[in-house]
Amino acid sequence: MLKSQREYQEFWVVNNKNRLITQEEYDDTIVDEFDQREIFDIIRSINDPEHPLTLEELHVVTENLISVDNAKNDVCIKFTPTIPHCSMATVIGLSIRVKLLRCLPSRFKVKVEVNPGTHNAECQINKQLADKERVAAALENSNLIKVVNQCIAPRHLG
Amino acid sequence: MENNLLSYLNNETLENLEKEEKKYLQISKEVTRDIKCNTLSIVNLIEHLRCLLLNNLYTRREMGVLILCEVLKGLETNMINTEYIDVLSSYFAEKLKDHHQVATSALKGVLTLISFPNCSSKSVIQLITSIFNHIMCQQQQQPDRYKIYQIYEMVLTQHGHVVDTMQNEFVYGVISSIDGERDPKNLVYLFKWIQLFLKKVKLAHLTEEMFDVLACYFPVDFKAPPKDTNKITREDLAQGLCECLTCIPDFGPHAIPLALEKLDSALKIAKEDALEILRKGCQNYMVETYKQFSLEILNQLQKDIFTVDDESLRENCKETLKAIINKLESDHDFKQSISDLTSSLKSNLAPGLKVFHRTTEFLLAIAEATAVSSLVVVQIAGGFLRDSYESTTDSADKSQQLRAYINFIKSAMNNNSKSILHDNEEIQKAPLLCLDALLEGDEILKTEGLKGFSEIGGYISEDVRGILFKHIKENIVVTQSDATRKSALFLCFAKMSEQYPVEVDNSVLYKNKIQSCEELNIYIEYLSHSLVNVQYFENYLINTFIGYAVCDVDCSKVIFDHLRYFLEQNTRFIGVLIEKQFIPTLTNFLSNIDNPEVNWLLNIKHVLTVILRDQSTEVQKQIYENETIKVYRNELMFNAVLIGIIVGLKKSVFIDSDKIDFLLNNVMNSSDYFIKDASLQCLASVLNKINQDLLEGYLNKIQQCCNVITGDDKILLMSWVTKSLVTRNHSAGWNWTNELVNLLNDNIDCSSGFRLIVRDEQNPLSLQNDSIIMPLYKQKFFVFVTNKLCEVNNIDKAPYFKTVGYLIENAPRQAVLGQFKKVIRLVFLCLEKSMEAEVLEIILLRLTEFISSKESVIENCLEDVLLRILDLTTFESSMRVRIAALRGLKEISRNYPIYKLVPLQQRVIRKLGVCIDDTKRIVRREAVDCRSLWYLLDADL
Repeated sequence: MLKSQREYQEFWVVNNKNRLITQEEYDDTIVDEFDQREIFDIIRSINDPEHPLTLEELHVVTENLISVDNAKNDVCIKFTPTIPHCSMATVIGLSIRVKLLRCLPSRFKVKVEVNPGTHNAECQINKQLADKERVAAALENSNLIKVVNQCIAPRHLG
Repeated sequence: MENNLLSYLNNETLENLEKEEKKYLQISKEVTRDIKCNTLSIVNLIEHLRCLLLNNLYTRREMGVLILCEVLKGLETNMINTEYIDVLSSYFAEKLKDHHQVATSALKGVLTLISFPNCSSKSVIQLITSIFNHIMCQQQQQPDRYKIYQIYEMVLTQHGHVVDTMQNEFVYGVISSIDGERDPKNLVYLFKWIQLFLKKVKLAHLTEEMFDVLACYFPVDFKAPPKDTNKITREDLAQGLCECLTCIPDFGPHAIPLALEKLDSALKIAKEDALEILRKGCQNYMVETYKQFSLEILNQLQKDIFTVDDESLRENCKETLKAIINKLESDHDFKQSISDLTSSLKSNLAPGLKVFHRTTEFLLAIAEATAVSSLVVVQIAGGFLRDSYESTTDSADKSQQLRAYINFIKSAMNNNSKSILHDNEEIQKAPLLCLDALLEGDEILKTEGLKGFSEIGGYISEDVRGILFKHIKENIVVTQSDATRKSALFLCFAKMSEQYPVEVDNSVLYKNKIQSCEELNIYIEYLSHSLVNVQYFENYLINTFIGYAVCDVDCSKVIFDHLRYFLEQNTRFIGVLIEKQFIPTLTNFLSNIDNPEVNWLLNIKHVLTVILRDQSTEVQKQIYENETIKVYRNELMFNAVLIGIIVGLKKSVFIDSDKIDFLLNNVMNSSDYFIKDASLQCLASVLNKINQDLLEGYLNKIQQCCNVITGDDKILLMSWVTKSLVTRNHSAGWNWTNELVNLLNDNIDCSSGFRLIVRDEQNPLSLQNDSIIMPLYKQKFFVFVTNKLCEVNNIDKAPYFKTVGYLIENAPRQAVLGQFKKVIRLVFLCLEKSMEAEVLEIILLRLTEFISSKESVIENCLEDVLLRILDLTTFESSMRVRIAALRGLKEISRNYPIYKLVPLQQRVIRKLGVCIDDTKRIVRREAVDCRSLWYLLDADL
């Protein structure tokens, strides 16, 4: 139950691994812009399709490989597959894309790419992830959306 | 005659019986009744059953056997003699060779026959041998296997001499029968009686066979099916199996290697079960067996304690280690073995090594196991730690070393007598090490030194004590910035006070007045926490409180800040305060005070109430009479004392109508908030306690006053009066409540009166204060007011919304749920039309609470609730409301059936699309979580 700033703070600390809330964030009149950390908080808990670990725990996503431009409504995420020939890189990219599709306002143009030099099929994956129609088609595939949902689902639901 | 009586036993009836129809049970009952009445004998029965028992069809024979079994089951021991049992046993032994359907039915009869105490050994052996020879247990169904095990258990418990006679034949038969059992219910039963079996029989050359039959289940890997009605868990099975494997010494040489093999596994349950065997085995296995495997066991446990990160598993390893070391104590090489083990590990205790912590954990477990091992560890590992402490420069390392060292010393103290420890070199040196830390170290080390002193209290030399006490004296008046250091000082001071009260009294406590209020505040805090449980200091403590309370204004303020909480937690001191004439002394002092601070006044009022309420009627009367006639220089102070005393009085004590007029006058005319508020509370307390006759008159008087005053004063007076009446369930309370409800239409502040009535915070009306508190008064009030509000026409006004919010916030859960159907209209109106963020948040939080507990009242109007909550996710003027609404939606997605939510899913997701672009980050975060859950509502995961 939210009764005080302190409780907000505790809630935030427990659930967001030490992102501290600033005084401004409690102020209803101040607008909080989207930042790297906020995007990172959205995608850090995505589960890896093969391991019982999150993308953050596997260092597939890191805060410094995320960029946000509030003025241009641009978000760019670079992810690092665990190995250069990782066969799940596309699924991971797709999971990040779907998660952001569901959790970021539609005004943002989201770009999800493989961190340059970290995967053998980098260009191919980037092309697939950038192609809206292919992403939409992928999400119509019941098997694929099941895998993506499993990656996105919080641990207690999976 | 007999034929008429036994018409139910005619051939036609018997031959038409069907097993499934259960009619045979009715016939069996009638037969049993007739045998008990001696109208039928067993021989006659068997003659009548001839058509079934000798029938060519096995189904008919089975029916005959079933009737016979049922009849036997219903008979008492004295109704059937040994000869009959012998004949029947021979018959049933034969039937066990019959068709399998007949044989399995006959098992019921065998069980009944064996349960008769007068069943002869010959018959038991005949029946058991027949089972061994003709019934293949593994081929039977689960209930029949269960019956066979019951027969074995019955033989064990009732016919032990038969087991002695049969010896290996019985053992072999049982082993053959139980081998390969897979049903969990049967296994739980088996594991229970097998323990008895193992203890009663000599397994001899069949020990290994028996062990193998049981060991194949180890470690138990079982997950109960979701719809399992037996409620059997893995733990039940694992515990039963462990008891079996450890109940006889003969299993030791087989069980320990098995446990060691499984302990090496990566599977947590395998490790846990293996540790259980090693630990429980200590009760029955031979020392020699443990000695034989000691090296492997200690190596494996050491490996696990050093490498396992799971804390509970590591604790388990340490407990097992302790049990095994304890077991090995009787071995003549024990001391040498522990000495060798400790010596081999002591180098791990060098500063900065990664294995330092795990090594101390391992050695501490060994030290805690026995008296000898604790002394060896203290001597070798403790000595090493002390030497390296002296040569270490890093403070963090030193602190770790000191902690480990003190833990070793503590284990020796717990395991050995004082006479042994007094001559121990390390015990003598430990206080010096703590002293060094206290004097030379930084803050962390100083804290560790204090903790060390509190743990080795009884072994500190006089010289060291002198220095330590000086340190404590200096520090208990100083602010400690570090919380750990502060709690260590509290603990050390408390321990020293327990062990050396006279010295602490002479060397630590301040006998002269502490001049600085800041220092006094800290000093009193230490005293009230550290000395409170030591009888010796009771006098000093109370004298200090009294002395400073009446010394000067500043000191008195400090004392009352502490006394307020101190007396509530330590009521035994109240009697001492009264004995020492604290109240007259205090009031003499207070009567000469000018311009007191409000906080001090509040504390004085509260402390006087706490002291007074525990006194007898006579004492209360005496204090009231003596103290209320004193003349005070300050009006505020007089009111604080007077009200403090009155609130604590028992029902029969206060009959002073002048004082009620005085209080009422304060309420009406005083311009001071403290006086007005305190008088209102006091008036409510009095009205709640005085008898019915007096009450009527005062209520009329107050009613007249209410007609004179307006605004907040009127609302507050009416609210407190209403509260005092409602809590005692006085009929006038409902008239006053009506008045308050009527005021709502004109006055928005009136709603706060309703909050005051249902809230408990700072409430003078309590059972402790001898107020009349009727059970369920809040429920009644809630129902009454909400019913009234339902009758109001123009309910869509802010004061009504606020009232609904305050009532729902503070009313008991069951009252709100019970009245929900009526209240829901008001709740919906509030959610739709109220612009008060506070009210909306209150209602949303309460609704979320009901949603989390899956209340059906919400489910019945789920769509209505959901849509209103959904609208508030974009409530502009307060992010708290938006967050509360989002959390409510999140809980809905988790707690109600998906089929009811799916039709609303897209609508919720669309609306939450706006929330994820909220201006506030905290709201966005909630919206993201919430939207993700709604997206996954019907997802196949």
